[in-house]
Amino acid sequence: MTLASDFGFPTAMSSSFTTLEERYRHNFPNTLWVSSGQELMNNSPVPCQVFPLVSGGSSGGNLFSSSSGFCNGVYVSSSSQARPSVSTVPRDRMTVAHVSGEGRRQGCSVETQSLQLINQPQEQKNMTWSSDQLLGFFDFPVPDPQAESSRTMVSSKEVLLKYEWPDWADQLISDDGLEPNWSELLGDPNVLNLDSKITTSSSDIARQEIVFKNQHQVDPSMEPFDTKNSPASSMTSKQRMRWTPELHEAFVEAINQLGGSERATPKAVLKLMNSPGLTIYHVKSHLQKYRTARYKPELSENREEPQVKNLKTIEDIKSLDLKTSIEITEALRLQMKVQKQLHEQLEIQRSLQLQIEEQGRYLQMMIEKQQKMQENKKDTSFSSSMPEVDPCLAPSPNLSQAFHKATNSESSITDQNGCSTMDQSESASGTSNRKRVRED
Amino acid sequence: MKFGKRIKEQIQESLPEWRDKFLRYKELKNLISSPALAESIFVGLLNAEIDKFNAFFVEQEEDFIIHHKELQSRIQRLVEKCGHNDEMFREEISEIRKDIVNFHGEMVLLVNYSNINYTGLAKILKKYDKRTRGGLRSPFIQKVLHQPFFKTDLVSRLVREWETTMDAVFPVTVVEAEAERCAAVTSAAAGVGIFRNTVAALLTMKEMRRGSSTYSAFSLPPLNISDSDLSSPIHIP
Repeated sequence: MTLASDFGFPTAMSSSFTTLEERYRHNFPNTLWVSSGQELMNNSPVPCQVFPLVSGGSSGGNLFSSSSGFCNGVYVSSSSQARPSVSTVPRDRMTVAHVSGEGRRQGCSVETQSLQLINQPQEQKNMTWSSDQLLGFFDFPVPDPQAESSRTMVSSKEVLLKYEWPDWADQLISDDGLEPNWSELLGDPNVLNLDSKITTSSSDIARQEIVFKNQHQVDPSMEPFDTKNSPASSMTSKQRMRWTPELHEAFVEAINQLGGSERATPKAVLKLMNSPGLTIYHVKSHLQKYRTARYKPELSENREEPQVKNLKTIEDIKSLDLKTSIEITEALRLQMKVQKQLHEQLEIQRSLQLQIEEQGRYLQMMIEKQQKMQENKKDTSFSSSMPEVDPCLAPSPNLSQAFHKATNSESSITDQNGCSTMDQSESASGTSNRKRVRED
Repeated sequence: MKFGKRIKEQIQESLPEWRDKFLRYKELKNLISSPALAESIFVGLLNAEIDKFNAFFVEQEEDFIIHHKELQSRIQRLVEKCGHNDEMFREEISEIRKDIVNFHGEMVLLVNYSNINYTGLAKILKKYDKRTRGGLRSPFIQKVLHQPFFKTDLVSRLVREWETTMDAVFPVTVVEAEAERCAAVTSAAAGVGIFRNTVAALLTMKEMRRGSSTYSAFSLPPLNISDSDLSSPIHIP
């Protein structure tokens, strides 16, 4: 019986999530088991993901208590460092954290968005990170007005609770290792906070743009994920690095200058590399990978030579060896061929997908422009007593021309675009119709 | 449904440590049909999936960059050691050749990972929009296009580099047709896991591109490889 099976989803789903959770458990690499908060900080730790089940009362307290060993560790220890603002790309590696509370392994599948609930009272410690994370989740435009969105939020929570609460709560109560802190954190006030956060941020589309810009690679040499909000020096291991071959070259250079990967220390390497935005944590983890990568091949290389000499002296085996080696070579060639083919197709597919989205976006822009023009025309030429005309049914001459052009085109892609334009315009005008009605 | 089956197969064929890093396609699809799903929750889940992809992709990429350099150094050392004396070091050369092919394969599979997750996301969003008659798909997909896991340029570049290296440094002269038949049998010698995975990926792509019932402007055109290329020497037992 896993926690995840009790989280967030109707019972019909719980079985599939259970198996998912099992998979996570078995395949989860050891590096993500955390015993102390400090270690967490150093190893780009895995955060919990809490599905947003919240209720007032003691059972709510229990929900987060079970994940407390890990989650609490994350946020408490973070208070000792200056947590920088924003990472809408949270520093998690995996979406599932394993909690080692009281020596017992627990699957903890917790959505980061409701980590905000945990964080709210600890705001003075983690404020900027948590609030921006929250925004990252709730920044998408909600078509319904604000009041309704919070209502649906609550109602979906109720649905989830109705399905999942009793079994899960029972299990938690029977589990050990419940941190007392959590029950304080999870009273009703937090629920209210969350809701208000949603309503204020859901309409903030502009913020959404910024939030995703953070994930772009800005500095070509360094390419950290988040360069918007804080100076590189105060960024901690929370920021995910994207290495490049050039940067790695510099790293290797530094290593060699310092006498090899065993001798070199992260601090020295960092200093030698002198790369803006690079932190000691990045270097540390990279060094670890580097050492591991070197160790294995060195073993096999040293083993190879004596074997070669042995084979040489035995004639029978040598002739057999020749045949096998030809077969092996051919197997490799075939494998290479297939891989090459796959890669080629992937590249083609990717560029097609980009093209499709590009064209779709362009067409939608055009449609919206057309609609705006029609609205303006309507405002000026019709009185308020006139019934509303659905632009979809009576397309403007320009719009129908665009359709015509698209459908007549020989290219299959634009042809399909012509058809989908209908879908797009329907949905676009549908929403705009709804908006207009509401305004009236 | 076909995609769901295909991605499941892909996951099964993939390297063990990759298996839980893929998109949870089936779960998300089922979730969409549940009526009480709030958009914010759905979006939150998708974001979590994206974070998962990003983290895994970037980490793999880092490993590849390190391995790439190491392999280059190793080849250089070997070339210096044997000079023109290929015979003596046949074992090592064979070993390195195998490593190159497997490394190439893993990188291609990472590109495949990126693509299949993107495709899955696009499909999920399409289903979501269909159910809610909403406009979530388009802006969301635009964001996805800028995610680190989608930017596979570096890995692709390395892949192509190794292709040219293979051709240049290890040319093969044996007759093709006969050899391929032997090769299929002895694929055990050449990294079966990666091989099977690659073939599965190709077949997946082919089927995905065959055309669907909900063909729209956002659907991909059919795949442009002849059947003979794909299926003749390859039978996954």
